[in-house]
Amino acid sequence: MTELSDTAFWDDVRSLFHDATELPPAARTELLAAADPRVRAEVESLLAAHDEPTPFMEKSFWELIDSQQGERLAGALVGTYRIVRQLGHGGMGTVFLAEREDEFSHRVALKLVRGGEALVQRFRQERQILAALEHPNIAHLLDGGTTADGLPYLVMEYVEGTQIDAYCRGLPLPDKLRLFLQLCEAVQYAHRSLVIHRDIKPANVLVTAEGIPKLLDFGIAKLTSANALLDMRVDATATRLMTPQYASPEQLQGRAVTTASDVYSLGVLLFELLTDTRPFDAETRTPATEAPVPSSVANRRALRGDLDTIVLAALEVDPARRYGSVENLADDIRRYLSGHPVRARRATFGYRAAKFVRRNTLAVAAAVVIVAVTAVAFAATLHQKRIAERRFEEVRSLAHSVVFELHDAIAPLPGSTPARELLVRRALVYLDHLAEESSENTPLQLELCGAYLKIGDVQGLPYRPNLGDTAGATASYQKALDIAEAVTAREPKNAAALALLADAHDRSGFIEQRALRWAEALQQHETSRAIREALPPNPRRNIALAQTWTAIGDCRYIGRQVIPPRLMLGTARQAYEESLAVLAAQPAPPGLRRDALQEIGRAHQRLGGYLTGELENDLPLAIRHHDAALQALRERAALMPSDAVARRNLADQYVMKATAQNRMKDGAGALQSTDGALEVLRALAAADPKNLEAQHDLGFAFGERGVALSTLGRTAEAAEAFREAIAIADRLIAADPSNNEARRDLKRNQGMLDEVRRVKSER
Amino acid sequence: MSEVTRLLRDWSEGSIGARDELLALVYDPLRAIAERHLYREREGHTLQPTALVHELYLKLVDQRRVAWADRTHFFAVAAQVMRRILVDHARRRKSEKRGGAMIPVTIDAALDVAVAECLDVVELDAALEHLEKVYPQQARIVELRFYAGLTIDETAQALGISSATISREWTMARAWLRRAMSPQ
Repeated sequence: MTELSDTAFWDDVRSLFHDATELPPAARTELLAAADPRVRAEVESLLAAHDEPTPFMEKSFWELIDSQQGERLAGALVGTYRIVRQLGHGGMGTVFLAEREDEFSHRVALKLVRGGEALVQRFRQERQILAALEHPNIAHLLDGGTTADGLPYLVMEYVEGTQIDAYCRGLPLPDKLRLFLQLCEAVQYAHRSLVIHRDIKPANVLVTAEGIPKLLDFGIAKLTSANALLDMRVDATATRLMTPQYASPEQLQGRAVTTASDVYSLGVLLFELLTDTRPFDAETRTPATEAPVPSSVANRRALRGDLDTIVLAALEVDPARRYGSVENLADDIRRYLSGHPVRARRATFGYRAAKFVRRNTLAVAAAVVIVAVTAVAFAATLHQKRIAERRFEEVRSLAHSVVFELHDAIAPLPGSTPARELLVRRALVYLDHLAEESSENTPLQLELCGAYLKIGDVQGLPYRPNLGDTAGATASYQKALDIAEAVTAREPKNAAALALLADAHDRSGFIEQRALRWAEALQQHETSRAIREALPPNPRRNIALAQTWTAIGDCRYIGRQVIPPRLMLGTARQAYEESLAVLAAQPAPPGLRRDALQEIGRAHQRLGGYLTGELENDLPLAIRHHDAALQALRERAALMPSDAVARRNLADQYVMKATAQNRMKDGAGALQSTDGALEVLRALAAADPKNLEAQHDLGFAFGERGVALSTLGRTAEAAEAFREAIAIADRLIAADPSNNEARRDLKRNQGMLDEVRRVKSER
Repeated sequence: MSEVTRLLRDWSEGSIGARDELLALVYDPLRAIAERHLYREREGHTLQPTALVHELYLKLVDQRRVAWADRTHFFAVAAQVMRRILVDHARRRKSEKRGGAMIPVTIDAALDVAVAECLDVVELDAALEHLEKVYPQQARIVELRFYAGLTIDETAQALGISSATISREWTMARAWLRRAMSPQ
């Protein structure tokens, strides 16, 4: 054989084989003669295998298992029966020809039924009833039990015969009808014994050599629930089942099965016997599908009229309109055979006429249209609702992921600002959609509230890396506030909602601070504090409360000249000390250590700043607080080395200390501090040039550096530092005209520069 | 993410190791489900290997995380697992002496039947291995058709090839296997 790796060769083999198999064997010679001899030899040997007449791998491995299992059972004992051979294999199991162990002449059909415990139990209950059915046209149930392995089996009269549809083909019409009548009698008999067949179909009706029809498997359908329709409801998606062509509409719908169902199935069988066609296409049939007129299907004149009427009366979709019993159906067939008018006609005509009239009455038609439209609209609404619900969940999870996972993941990374900008735009679109649909849904509303806060932070929370979009942040915080207020109005004791409400007030306060509207800011923070103090304390809440206290201190201190006295509930120093006291009250667990350190650092830093100021000019104490702050913030930055915010806070602290040192005229110390700050800030600003907060701090540091240098008398260098600070303030104002703090810094640094110039020119 | 989901993804990204792990992982559950399907919970319908694979799939795979491409991969895995179950069984049985005729209630007994059927599973496996070296796609088709029980159309869908092509290649693959397995 040729090398397996000779792909060109095998390609040729394949295409020649395909070409050859499209031709009948006799016509291949010419094609093969033209081919390369090696290729030809290979293909010919394949073709020889291909042309072998016996089946090969026609069935899948699974079909083999399923269909052939009985073959191995020959000779096996089931109860007192010895299996002779497999007769057939069907939905309910496998049927074997078997004989009594002690009585070889007595042949039976043994059905090995598939099914679990439930089946065995039902089987025991019903076996007696079934065994009592004795009718010449019913295959008698003889015995039954369970195998040693627990499989139920049934032993039935063995019927050797032909399936009724095959038997009837070519038979004269009256003969077919007489045969069918015998069948009806059998069913009628069973119905009188309160047994419904449930599965009347050609495969269950065998006609013996003597021409006697025998109905098989009476009541078995119920036992095994082999009722395809039931199965179809249970796992229609997973399994394609046998086609429910003979089932009644009520069976299709899984409703109660009555004797009328057998009438219907007999009608289908009769239809088929008369026309050699099945009334329904299994693929398209629904419970509402009406049977076609037999004579129109078969184009047989003999069927027209009474027989059409009889079949259609048996095949009425509504059981109430069907023949009331098999007896009635059989009666009409007998009337037809004897030339009497059938009973079904009048009623059916009246029914059809009435139907016709109804169909043509305008009012009724209009009503039908309205019903139909309503139904369609209702269906459409349901459909849309489902789509909406699904979409809603998708949006919710996406927004959640964007805001809480994606953003948090990239936020500490230097240089992430443009990516965060994009995230924010996307997330806001989703959030606004969600907010419109979220009313009264508390968990979702809280989620949304948190999301708006996050978004606002990204847009423009002061003192954190943000996009400088103060207006956007204000709007987002307002949305969060609205939602939190709505929820807490509804659920005044919902702690999560209250915490979010406080958060929203604080955020709004920070925005007010940044705009230098101190009274407004203070009010927001005081509101937040009141809410937080009402909640039972825990480490996380303590940290939040400390942050609020510090913010209050900031407002009281920096805004002291513009805040009305009635809003001043204490001094700035008291607020800062409250903050430290809250943090000291409960040590933070390791998971919250960073957050606690941040607040400790912040409070010390603010105290340091406050003590440096004109109110309580206690500079040595101020420096001690600044050092405490530096220590906390250094520890924190070390805990989170890749966190830009932590480093920024550290730089900020260096600047604060420098401010205090400048105040003490400690120019050298201040210069050392600003060097520390600039080192951290330059790295940050370089890594993320769009991060405006880093720029702001850089400007601040340059300003303090200028002061330190002028204290040291290095006026040229001082002027240079102020010019740097002014340039930064200019850029900040250009980026965000509402940045009043930058304007203030600009003014301050401009003044300092003028001062330095004057000093310089005086020399 | 379930282990199977992860492996499916890795495999679709080219990791053969992931496929092998997957095969091992899916072996037992598939066998268990097959067994149950064969004799316990089947009230009245014929075995549907496709349904079986679906059940396995639903059980093992986090559907939200798996793309359709991975799903077809899964069918391929299931087919290979079934192939392996069958061959393992046949190899084991070849040396064993079977007891008297019993009603088959275990998958082993059922497999005996299939193995006894005109087809030598071990021989088929060897022939298939050979075919795989020449026409790998045909080998895949055989796996999906014979071991996973997929129809021509389902196979086409799983492999992303037209039904006509599947049908032609299936014909040729069977000719190849038949030649390989017929006594010389």
